[in-house]
Amino acid sequence: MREGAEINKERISDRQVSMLVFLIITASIILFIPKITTQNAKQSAWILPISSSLIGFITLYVVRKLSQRFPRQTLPQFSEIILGKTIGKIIGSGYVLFFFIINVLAIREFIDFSKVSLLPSTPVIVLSSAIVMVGGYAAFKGIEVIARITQFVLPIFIFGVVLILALSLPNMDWEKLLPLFEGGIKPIVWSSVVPASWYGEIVVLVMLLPIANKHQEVTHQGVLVLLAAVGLLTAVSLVTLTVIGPHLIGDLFIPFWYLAGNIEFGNLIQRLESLFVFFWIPAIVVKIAFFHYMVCLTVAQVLGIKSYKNVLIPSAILLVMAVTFLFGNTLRLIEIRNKWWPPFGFFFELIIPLMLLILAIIRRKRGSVS
Amino acid sequence: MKQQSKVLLWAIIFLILLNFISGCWDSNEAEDLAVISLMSFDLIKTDNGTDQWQVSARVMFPGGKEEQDSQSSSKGASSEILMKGTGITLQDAVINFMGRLPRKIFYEQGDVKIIGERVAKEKMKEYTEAALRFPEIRPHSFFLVTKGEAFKVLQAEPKVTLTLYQEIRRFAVKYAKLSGTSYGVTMTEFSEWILSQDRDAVLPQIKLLYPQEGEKTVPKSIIVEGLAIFRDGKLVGWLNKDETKGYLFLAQKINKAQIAIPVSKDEKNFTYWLTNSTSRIEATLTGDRPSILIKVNTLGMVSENDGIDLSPEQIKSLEGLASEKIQEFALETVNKAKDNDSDFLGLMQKMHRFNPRAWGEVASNWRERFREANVDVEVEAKIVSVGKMSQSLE
Repeated sequence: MREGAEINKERISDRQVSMLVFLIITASIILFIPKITTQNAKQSAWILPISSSLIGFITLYVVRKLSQRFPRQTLPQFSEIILGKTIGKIIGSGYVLFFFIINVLAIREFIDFSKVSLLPSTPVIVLSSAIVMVGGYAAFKGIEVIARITQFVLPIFIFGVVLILALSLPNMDWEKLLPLFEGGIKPIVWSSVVPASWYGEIVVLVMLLPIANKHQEVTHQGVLVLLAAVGLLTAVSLVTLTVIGPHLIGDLFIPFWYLAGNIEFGNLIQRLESLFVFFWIPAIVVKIAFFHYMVCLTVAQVLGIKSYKNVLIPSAILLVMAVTFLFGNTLRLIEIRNKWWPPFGFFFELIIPLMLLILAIIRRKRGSVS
Repeated sequence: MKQQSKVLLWAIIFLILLNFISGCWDSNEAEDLAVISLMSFDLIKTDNGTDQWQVSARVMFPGGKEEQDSQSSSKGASSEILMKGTGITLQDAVINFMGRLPRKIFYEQGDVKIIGERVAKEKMKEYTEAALRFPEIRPHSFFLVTKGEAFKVLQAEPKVTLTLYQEIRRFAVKYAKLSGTSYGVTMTEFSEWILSQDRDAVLPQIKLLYPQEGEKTVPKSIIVEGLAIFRDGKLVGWLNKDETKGYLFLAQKINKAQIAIPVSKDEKNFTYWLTNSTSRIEATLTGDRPSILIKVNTLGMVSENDGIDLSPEQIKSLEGLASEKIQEFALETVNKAKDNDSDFLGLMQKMHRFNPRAWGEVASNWRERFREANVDVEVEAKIVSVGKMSQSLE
């Protein structure tokens, strides 16, 4: 069996992996975080990024244990070792679907955001093919390039978010967070489910670890990545809640964008929505490129194709089709993010890796160290 | 040779891409836009008795009027025109007048909305939702209410700025609150208020005035003065000048203001020139009745004393008199709130926030409970300065 003959050529550093994972997790959540969480939890929603990160940490632990057993194999490869060829390939194809759907949702987020904010009359197919082309080109250039784009984009992204948060500080009214935890713990637990499925995206490490040059370091840094994501998202939730207020947020489409539009200092500093567009779109492009790469890589590994680049064009066409024709409107996207994504996400983020780990322990399987 | 053709290829790609800079489907040329700077919304009865929306707008044309009057230098303010249209829905009404212009409508400039009395009374929630939904209306828009028809406000003329829009906006952003006449409310704040289940909302009132004293022609000038009060998202009443001051002292934090409060002492009148004010609200439940204590602290100066002696001993008593006067304003406002069953001061919201257990008992019928609430106002007015003189003229 060829064990990752293709991917072993490329190497990215542990720090690049951490940055990439951070950007992937936060780029999507930042659109929805105070919205979906305030619908049930109201003014207590700021605690949700913290409480829901638990799933992320559990996933990280499972990934770490798996990577200790199979240091040089990705998930489709070691699932074949653990479960045999047929079942292993089925699980591998499951992950193809999983990455594909993450990508479809990310592209759809880009399109819906652009349609509401900037380009209301541009056809969806133009937007989707443009973004898939950009993402596909980065994927064609390989993971090293995507990682280097991340190093460039992440500081811009963080700077933009922090700037908007800082400029909103004077409008904050801490009283809007009171009364604390009204209605008890139940709504908080229930509303944690949706954001938890987003933190679970850290499961991409099962594909990235074999590429990283110091992969044991990565799992240590993963904790920091999750903590940083929790910090950023809690700050976003707190500021948005205290500036806009818990009652209105639940009804808005993209609260953070609305927050940026709400900033005004005299005639000089205002209309910062465009700033949000400027730093968010590079971030989502990295996410789209990365998951495009993941889809192709997983397909190549499952089917034993020599180079993932052969799969790029078919998957790009499928992506454009899926994005353009599967969604009727924006409400659909929010419904999917809210209702259908969490169980689907948990299945691939936590349940399958956990199952694989347990089976690997029972059947005493280990990967070759070479 | 190969190098050269590569450069040529990039140059061609670059030139092709250059064509797309102005946008493909969503390109906006400034000369093609009709920029709406100020809009007003009314509900009117048509001849056959049905309700219709009447929307009016002041529209600017970037680049001035086209072609024929190029010699006239009338650009900017004078190229603003007033238009009005009616329709069954809001956007229908907008198209009914903007459709007459061969230009594209551009809304984002105009973040001041004047709302007529009937809209505020009957359709305020619906209107707010429409404004929130519409992507081109900015979150930081200001809402103002006027008595009667809002269209009349748009006929006014600006006094200190080029356009009426700028003048109203300056009032709403800053100066209404500084002079204690009103309080500018943004769309975000207003929607949050009408969506919360524990308080009510206010919006500033805009009035028409005669431009100068003594002229009795058409009222052509505006002032933002007084507040419109809402119950459950519907207009129920108005606050006059004094009650508005009371609202500002009770519910807002005032800083660097210029609010004149005339106080009388022994048939003489002095001015308490208020600059800062803060308030603290404590809402509890004593027995069955909500009891609310509001502490107001103000800072101010006295420079116009009408011959009243301003010695250190006297200042104590003047402070007491000023406090009484401010308390009078505040109690008037509280009574207005109770009379209209509208908790626009956010008193019960304070109970909800700081005293959730007490709120649990009153939550189901908090409006009735608020009416029988026992509201106390304690004012501590301080005089921090008496101007440039240390003694009165003898």
